[in-house]
Amino acid sequence: MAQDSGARDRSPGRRAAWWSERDTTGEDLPNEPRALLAEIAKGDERAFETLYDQLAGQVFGLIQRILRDPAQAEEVTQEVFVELWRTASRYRSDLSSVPTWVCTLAHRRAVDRVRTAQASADRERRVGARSVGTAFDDVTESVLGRLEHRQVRRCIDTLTELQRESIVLTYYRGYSYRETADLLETPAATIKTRLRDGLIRLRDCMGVGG
Amino acid sequence: MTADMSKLTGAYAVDALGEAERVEFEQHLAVCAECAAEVRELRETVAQLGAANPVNPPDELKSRILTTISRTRQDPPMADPMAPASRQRSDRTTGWPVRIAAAAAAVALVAAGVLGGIAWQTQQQLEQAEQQSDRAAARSAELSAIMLAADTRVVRDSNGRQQGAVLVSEQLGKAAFLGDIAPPGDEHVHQLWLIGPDGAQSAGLLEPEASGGTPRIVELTPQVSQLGVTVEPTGGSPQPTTEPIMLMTLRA
Repeated sequence: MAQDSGARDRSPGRRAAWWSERDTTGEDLPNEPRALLAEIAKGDERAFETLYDQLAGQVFGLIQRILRDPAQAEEVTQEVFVELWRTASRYRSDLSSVPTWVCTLAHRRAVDRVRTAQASADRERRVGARSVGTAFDDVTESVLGRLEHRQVRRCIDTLTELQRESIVLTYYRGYSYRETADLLETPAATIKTRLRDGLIRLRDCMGVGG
Repeated sequence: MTADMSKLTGAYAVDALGEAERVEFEQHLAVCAECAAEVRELRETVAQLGAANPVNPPDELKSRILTTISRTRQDPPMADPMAPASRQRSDRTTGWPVRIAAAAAAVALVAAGVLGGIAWQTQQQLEQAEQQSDRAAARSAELSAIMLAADTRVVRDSNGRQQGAVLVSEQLGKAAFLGDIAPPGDEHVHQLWLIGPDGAQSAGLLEPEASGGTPRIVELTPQVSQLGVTVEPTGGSPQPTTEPIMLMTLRA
């Protein structure tokens, strides 16, 4: 299989191709994630390495953003890629793109880790209400402020403040929607609705699905 | 109820539902193709948020992962329901451990049953079935590790119709709870608690369909001395609100 140099190719064109793979035009390219995953399912460790090089930055970036602690982020990143290796044969291309599948695994594992840590540390929930200002500013700066992807940035800017806060606190901080409701001193039913209509607005802005 | 449930697609897509709600919502997805399609699109949407800010991990991580996968067996396309439990079960084990191995196999069989019904399922359901199967396989492996740890002890509790046992391994710092508990009734759930000098901490809800024997694995911190089960309102409680129906002392 022809392979690029080990360096991750971060040119916009390359990344656009990952996300638009539903169009299937690039399906037979050896570096296309779906083709790689099919090889991985057959036990091809080189295909795994190529896919790792393509996705590790996204996976590690997301997990570290949620967990903060780099050592734990490495552990969870390892769990995600070992799960990818183990369950490659069960991936269904009709359900989601490969990057989405991997991202879903990564997010779920990171959130599980946050919740386990919270449970064992018996987190003082009341503290949250006081620290929400800091928490949110911090996240806004560290996450939204540095978004490389201009389209994502532009779409996030179309959200209302409550939609944006709800999505950031749940997705990037791993809070449940009820915890988010406490933090924002807003009824849980409202947060639930804002999460949905906010994500629908993002979906339409980004042109996902259809 | 249904109209309300369909609004949870967003919270579900960002993994922001509580455990009980997530289980309930996934059941709802089984009968709501529209919700399943929406979840799929919203997942695709949030994945782009997740990918928007990449950070390269250290090179050592890559070597570690490549080493690990070279030693990791891959799952077959369809879960082999008996594999984890039967392969690791020791012939020397008798009594409770055997029953627990059987329970682990039962977990896998439930997953297999889910996978067996795939023909009529929506795509979203298929994805969930696979996740459930992964979780069941992981649980079986974890349970086997506890069973086979050199220092594993069994603590039991019997209270009328309720029967429970906990396998405790201090070495692993883990315990596996196995209960045969009468269903809690409508609007109620069984909740598992880790109890120590500082009070009770929730170890999650016991899924109603699982009360008959799905093992629940918990991490034991040094403070934990007892494991308890209470009946709580649907969704669970931050602290126990009723007397335990089951109480097992793990450490004196």
